[in-house]
Amino acid sequence: MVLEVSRSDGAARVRVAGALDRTVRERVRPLVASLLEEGAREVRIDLGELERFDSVALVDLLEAIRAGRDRGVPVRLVRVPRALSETLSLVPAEAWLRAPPPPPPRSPLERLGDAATPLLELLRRDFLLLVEVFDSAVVGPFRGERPRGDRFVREVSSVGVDALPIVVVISLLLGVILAMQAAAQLRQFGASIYVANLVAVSLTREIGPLLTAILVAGRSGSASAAELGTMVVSEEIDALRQIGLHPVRFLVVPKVLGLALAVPCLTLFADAVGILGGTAFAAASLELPASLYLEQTRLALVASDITSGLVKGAVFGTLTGTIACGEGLGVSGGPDGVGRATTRSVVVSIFAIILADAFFTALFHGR
Amino acid sequence: MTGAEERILLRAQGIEVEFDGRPVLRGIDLDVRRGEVLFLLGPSGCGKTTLMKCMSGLLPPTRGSVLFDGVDLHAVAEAQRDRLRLRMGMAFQGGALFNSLSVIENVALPLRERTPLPAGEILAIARLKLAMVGLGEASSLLPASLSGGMRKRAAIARALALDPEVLFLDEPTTGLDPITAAGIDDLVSRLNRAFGVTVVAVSHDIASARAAAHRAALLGEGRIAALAPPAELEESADPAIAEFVHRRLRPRPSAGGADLFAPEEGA
Repeated sequence: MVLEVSRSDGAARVRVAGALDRTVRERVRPLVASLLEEGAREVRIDLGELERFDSVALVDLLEAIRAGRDRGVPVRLVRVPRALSETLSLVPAEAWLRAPPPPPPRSPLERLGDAATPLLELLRRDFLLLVEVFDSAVVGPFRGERPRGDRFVREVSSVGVDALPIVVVISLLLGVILAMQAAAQLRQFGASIYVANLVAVSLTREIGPLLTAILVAGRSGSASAAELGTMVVSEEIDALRQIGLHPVRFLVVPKVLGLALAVPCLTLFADAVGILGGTAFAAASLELPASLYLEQTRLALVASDITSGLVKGAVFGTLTGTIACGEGLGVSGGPDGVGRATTRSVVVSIFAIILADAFFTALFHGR
Repeated sequence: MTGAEERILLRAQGIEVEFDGRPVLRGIDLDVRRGEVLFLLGPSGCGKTTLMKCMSGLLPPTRGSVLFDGVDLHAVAEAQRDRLRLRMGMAFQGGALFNSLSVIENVALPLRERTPLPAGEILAIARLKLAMVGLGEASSLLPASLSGGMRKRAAIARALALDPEVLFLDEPTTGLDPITAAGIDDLVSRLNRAFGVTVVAVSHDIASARAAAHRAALLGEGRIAALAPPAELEESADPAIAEFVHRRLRPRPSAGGADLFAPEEGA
């Protein structure tokens, strides 16, 4: 393409010849801007020899005109080809020129701030939901609200019973792995029998509840978020409210309570099966008979090891349920919103679980 | 209370709604008479569904109030609003049927949750409502296997479950073929005549309004542009009304208004 400038008596004329489209790199606007900079009192853009154009030309020309307006200098198009003037007539040009240009991209620091605000908003939302769940579940029955026993049972079975096989398999393997790692160290001191202590304590206090909660967050938390999110998108939540059923009472409370019960139950299974895994490994590779190993386990464990694990499990389940349901009910903007909520429910749940675990450990064992 | 006041079932007063500071409704006053079929007409995105959700108590307006039988829906406590909702039914645009429940369980849900009726009676009522909308055969199907028209009918059956005084319909005929749509219009008319149920329907289908509505309100720019029987709307000479009713485009201001082109040199 060719851009030619001719000046006469303060008025500038830009002749555009050839193509003005995505195949060429030259643009009219910078040239017009520099003419305005020089102090031109009027700019005419001569399009008589324009051969090809596309949306690049439309934006370029409109922006050139806008640049003129910003300085109060008329920038006009002359000898406009018919096709271009027809295309331009599709653009509500006056409104387009009046609208402010898009803001420049934000700096990394600003974007960090942008990301932090929704995080606080998220915390607030999940906290409020937790309060509401507590209110409905604990205070509600005293107000005469009917507890949703049927839905609670269904949640416990879908979260708990259905997750049992995978929890059993994974905790069995983890029991074996823990025993192998412990044995590798303890054998050096001839203290192989203490493998039982290590496996039992680490499983019941930490790994049992943590592993179970993370599995449940990935399996059931995400499912809850997706289910509720889909219900928001398809107006099912509105339909529930229109029938007079409170979504939190009807859907969220059974899910959260279901998780709060199912996670400790699964944790118990994980503890037991993990210890069995350790026993099996010890019997096979350490020549420790099962009876001896289990007796040593019994000596190693105190009741609080198991109960603290179960309390953790209940808290993790509550957190996962609340976060997943909060994400689900917070969905906006259609199916992609459901996908985002599902992903975020897993990530945020796992983060919350680990955070709560650190808090617990510091509180009970940190001294 | 005068006779005319008594006939007003729903009254919207100065409804304004903003989403993120962007005004959608800019002051709507609308009375719905007991026993009438009122259509809210307007182009996509004009706020008619928003208005209906305000009137049914789902969406609190930014300003203004909605009186249902004299009670301000958005000012009362939630428990009382829930009681008032027993007297309303709403069929959503996509049906909003609960996906995990079969069609008949969907219709039975409001009865099961909101009435003390025994299970046998609930089932019988649900079956009756499905038969009324012509879905007697489909009661055991899951929503996913219904066609668009069947889904709308099932949604209407669920909305009718509690024998409401007012039935809200969101786009009851949108996306349906003309024959199925006419069937829905006919159903709405018959339900209105048979039960005297007041109907508030959102639609952009003037033919549907002509077939079923006593009055139609035309929404534009967040206000009510016209409120009249559909036949009168169709005869109106007002260009804004004619544009919508007869699919006639008003001439758009051309780009020339923006002073883009220099006049001379044979542009």
